[in-house]
Amino acid sequence: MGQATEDRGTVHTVGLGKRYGSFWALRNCEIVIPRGGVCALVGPNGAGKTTLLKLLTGLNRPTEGSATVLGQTPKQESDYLAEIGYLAQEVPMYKQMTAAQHLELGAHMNKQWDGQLAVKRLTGLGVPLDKPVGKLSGGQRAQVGLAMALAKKPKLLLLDEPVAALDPLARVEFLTSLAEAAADAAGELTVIMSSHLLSDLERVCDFVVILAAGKTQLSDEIDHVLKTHRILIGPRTAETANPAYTVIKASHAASQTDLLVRLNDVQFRSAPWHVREPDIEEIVLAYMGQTKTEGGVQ
Amino acid sequence: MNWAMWQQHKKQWMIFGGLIAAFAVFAVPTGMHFWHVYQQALAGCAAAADCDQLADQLFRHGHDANIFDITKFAVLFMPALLGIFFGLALVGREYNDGTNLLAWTQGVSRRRWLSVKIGWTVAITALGAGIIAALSTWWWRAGNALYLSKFQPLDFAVQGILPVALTIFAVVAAIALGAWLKRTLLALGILVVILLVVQISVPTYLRPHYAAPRVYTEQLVVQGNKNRDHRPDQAPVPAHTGAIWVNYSAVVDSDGTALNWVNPPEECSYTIEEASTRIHNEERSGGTPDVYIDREGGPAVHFRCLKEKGYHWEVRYQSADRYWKFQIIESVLYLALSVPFVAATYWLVLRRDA
Repeated sequence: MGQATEDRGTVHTVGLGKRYGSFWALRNCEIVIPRGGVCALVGPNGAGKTTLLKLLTGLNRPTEGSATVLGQTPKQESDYLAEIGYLAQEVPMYKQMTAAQHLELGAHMNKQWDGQLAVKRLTGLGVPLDKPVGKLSGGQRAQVGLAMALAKKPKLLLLDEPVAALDPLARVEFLTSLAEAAADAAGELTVIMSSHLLSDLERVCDFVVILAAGKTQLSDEIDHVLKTHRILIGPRTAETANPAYTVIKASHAASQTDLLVRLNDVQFRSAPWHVREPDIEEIVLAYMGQTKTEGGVQ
Repeated sequence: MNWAMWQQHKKQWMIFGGLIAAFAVFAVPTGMHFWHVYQQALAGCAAAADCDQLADQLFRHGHDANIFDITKFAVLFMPALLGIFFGLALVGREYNDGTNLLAWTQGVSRRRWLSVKIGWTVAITALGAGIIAALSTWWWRAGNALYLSKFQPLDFAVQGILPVALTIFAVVAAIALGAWLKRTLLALGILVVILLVVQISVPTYLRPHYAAPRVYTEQLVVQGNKNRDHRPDQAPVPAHTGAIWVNYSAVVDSDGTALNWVNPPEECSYTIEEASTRIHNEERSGGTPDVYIDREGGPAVHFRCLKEKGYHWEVRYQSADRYWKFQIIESVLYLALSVPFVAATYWLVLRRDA
């Protein structure tokens, strides 16, 4: 792993694009994800999240542009695959095989494998190891998937909508497991986790990438995002354009206009606007081109 | 990866092993029984100096005949069944269930994963098919000796080494179809069509041409009737030639043109009534009547007249000593046909997006 590439992040994509037939699932994707954090990959359904993760695993090949992951180009070769852990959408597994057999499978398909840790993790959560995984609950299966991915001791963990199908309690348990694993790895593990709603992931993430309409809308640390975005509330007649900020989303009511803006200059003359600090979910929804009510929790 | 392969498929393989064992449990005692019955019948007819009709009497009816036919068809369909149960699901099911995404993100390259999967599946199905083919060949020896039929298409496909090559072909074709179309009804349908087309067209259009047929000619029988040894309307069989395979037989003229039974030479043709009258008259005058044959709705043809014009029987056949040569040629052919399917599977799995 070259030192120079590592400086540019664990994951670095340049003009990355993927076309299926005549449909561009992802285009002009430019992201730099720093090492050692937990990154939320957020976007509406069909925004290209799954495609991006598959390109990063090397499961799919890009149509244009390039991705550099841990200093390598993603490919289906063992030296690259040893570095990453991946949990596909809906956690596909061999339904008749037990969790213990899956761990055994992993032990035989990976040079580097920490099966003891996985067993400890799953028994701690009360996941039965001797039952076919087809008979486990969605939450338990997701935990088995996570345990398998972590047992590889990956440097990068890619999780595709891991909590989308889980009930609220199972979500919390899954995210807690993940946060513990990230803490245990002490900066050696980078996690990228996709979701169509940030609220799922907010509490464990420190970096956010927003994909919408196949493009990167935002790629930044969550703290920095919060610092540089504001909601401006003012009369309908007010002039919205201002070099001090960029309007991300404007919504107009009968007599009032709400703007969500990215500040180019923190010191700006706010009159006639009333300024409020948005939460991260409002910012994400603005970038996804949705209002909070439209994109509300399902 | 080998261990993973075992873990994933052991149930399937053990069932297969069980079925082979069950076939052996059935085949060994019945095979010994048939052989014993045949030996006894042979000894019996030899004592009576009347073995000519043994083939028409033994195992032709009832229980024994059913066991013969059912077993033959079971072995005939074995390659297709192995293709369906081992081949279609091998990669197709992984695509269906999304487990390919799990397998391809472990520390094993996709190429190695596929090679191990194909390698073990082909090895195990070929081994199983080999055991079944060997048992089938041994089991069938009474029939082979009795009917001299092992070169006939239905027998040829269930004995020797051909079942193994057919199995390999069916399995790799199924793997490729599964990789292409997932584990779908369409893949199953195409597999069945491919196997049917191949199993019908190869024996019909290709097998007769692996070697130029030997030619046997015989004079027409012009006198007598109903004598078994000289049935004048049936193509003769070259004497003492073992299990031959007849590709062609016809009454031909001196140029080799086959007789047109509907429109034979005018001077040798009679209406059925005329022929009956002539036979009747010849019998009444105390002689052996001439042969008149009507076929395919044509007139009665006077064989003595045909013979005088140079007509004779021509039989083209593959001799018994070519049996193994043909088995090997056809097995190699099926292995060659398997190669593009294996290549297509690699192309589909390695080139296509997950």
